[in-house]
Amino acid sequence: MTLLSPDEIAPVKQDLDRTLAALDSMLLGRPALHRLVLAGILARGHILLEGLPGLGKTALVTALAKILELDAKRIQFTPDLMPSDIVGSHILETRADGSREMSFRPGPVFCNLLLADEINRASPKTQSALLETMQERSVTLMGVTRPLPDPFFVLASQNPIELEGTYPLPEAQTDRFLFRLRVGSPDAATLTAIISSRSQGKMPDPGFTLSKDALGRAFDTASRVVLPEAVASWIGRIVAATHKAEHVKYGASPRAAIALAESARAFALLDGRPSVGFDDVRAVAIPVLNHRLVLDYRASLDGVTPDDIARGIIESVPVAE
Amino acid sequence: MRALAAEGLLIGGLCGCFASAATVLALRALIHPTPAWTPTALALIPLASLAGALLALRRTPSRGACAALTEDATHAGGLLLVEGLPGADAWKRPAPVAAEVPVRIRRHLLKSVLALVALIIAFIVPASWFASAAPSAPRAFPDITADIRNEIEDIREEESLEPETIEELAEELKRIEAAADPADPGTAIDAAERLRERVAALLELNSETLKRIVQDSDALARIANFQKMLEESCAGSCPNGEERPGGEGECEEPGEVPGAGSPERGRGDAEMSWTDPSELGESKYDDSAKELKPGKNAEEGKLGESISQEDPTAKGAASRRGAAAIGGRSAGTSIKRTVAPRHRGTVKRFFETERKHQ
Repeated sequence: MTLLSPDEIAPVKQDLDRTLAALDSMLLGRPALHRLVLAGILARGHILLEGLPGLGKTALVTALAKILELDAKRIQFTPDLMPSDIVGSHILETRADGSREMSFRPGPVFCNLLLADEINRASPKTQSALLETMQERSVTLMGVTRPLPDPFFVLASQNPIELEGTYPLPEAQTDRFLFRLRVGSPDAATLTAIISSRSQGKMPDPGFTLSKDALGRAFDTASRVVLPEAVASWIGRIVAATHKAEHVKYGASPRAAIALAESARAFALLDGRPSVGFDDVRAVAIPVLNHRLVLDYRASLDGVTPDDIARGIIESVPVAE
Repeated sequence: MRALAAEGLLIGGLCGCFASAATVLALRALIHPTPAWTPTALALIPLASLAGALLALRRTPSRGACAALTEDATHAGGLLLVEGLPGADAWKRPAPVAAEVPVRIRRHLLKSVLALVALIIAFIVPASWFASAAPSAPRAFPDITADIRNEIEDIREEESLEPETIEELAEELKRIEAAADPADPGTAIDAAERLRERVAALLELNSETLKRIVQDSDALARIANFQKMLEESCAGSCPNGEERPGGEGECEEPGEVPGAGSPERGRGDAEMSWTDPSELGESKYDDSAKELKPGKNAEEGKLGESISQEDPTAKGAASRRGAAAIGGRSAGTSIKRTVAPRHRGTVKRFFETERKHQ
């Protein structure tokens, strides 16, 4: 295991800094959220954005697609949305010579960046189709497996209110998301800046775009960031501690430990370091764990949220064994 | 890190001092005659020190844990944890900030002084502290009264004392219990202790009386035996010491023989002379004493030397009791004992309480 040299990290960090700067310039007032989203992208994870309508979830995905020069598509989930509407389907086509055959029409999932808007409004069947695709990064129809483009990310959004007529994502399926990020309301200064500098709220064009090659190099560099044994041990103990925590019915899965490690690597790279520190884990622990903890009824009675429990676990588990 | 290592060294040394002091104390306690609990209690000290040392050893973090803690404290981003990996030299590591490691010199100095004092004290502690004469812990008032109540019940069952005395003691105990003030337990305890001493004294007196009776009965038996032997040896003699005529003849009556009188008849044949009462002291005493009313002191000079207006002096049972309590001293002699500094307050309070009673 060799540590990345400063010369290897410097250009990647420069690209990532410029990406973040471009994102911050397009969407005002959320640098921390942008940093987490970019860390999720570098960790090759899917992100669940949770927030009220109009807070810029779709705008964030659109801006990211522009900056990263990725093929982005959007699916508005509705109760009558079918799996074939997502993954595609075979249709009977007539050729020029008059012969007919079943040909595959790929669905919107065949893209680099997919915005699954209001994912909790689709039926469980459709949700499962998407979530299966997210995990496998391929689509299998009529015995034929078709890989999705690389990279492939899903940024799903869901509205935490108006739950009437929705199908909340099962815990097993939310586990497929690397992060669950809450998009909060911007403060008054941000709102003032938005309305004073932008006509109709239109985002400016990004002054910088990250090429696919540069993004691939960033992926490669992130995977070479060293995870020290002490930090890995801490991650393992954090995940194990979620099963023993009060108010927790079911703790985090091993997938959570993998997600913690990968996203911490990405966070270290965003900071220009070749190794993961404890602070990197702390930075990503709550978004990684908050949707993976299944709480019991006492948590509702006591007003305890998954964020509170994750925060408590991080504070209580010592870094040194 | 050097500061931490030095601190650890110092703390280890201090622990060693405390452990040595505890061991010395325990050894000295084992050498000297001690109350039953002392060796056990003192032996617990080195055991506790050993347990503490083992616990400290167990809690001492490993090298990896130290590195993790330092990494976390310095927010080095994992760079301190990847030392030794190829390419690590190219990265600047943020040096641990020395100022963040608190080295409390004054606290360590104080600990050092305490440890040395403990060690010195362990060597100079007087041997008498380990002796069995060490004062026992003060007892609680309810325990004392319960003991007295049991003693009174025993006396009542055994009928060792007069029923009136027993009732008086029981009444006194009730009075002490009723007057006990929780805010001032010392006074109640002192009163209860005095009552207990009084009960003990009464029992002692009673036992002495019984002993004297027993002794007297022995003496009577001896006298009876002597008298029997005398009668046997004097079987052939007359009361006047002369042999009976012919061995079995009648003796002459007393008084018939000149010079052989008896108390009933006076000397010889002389007649008893009855005159007026003599002017001896006892007849005057009777007349004077009958004139006295209960509780009234006699006028000075009117009575004989047998009555005095001075306060009674402590003699007899009380002194003997005090002497017996100390042991090895004769009754009435003064008791000298060095009062340990920690008991001076108790002794002072005791005498102050006595003064109040008087």
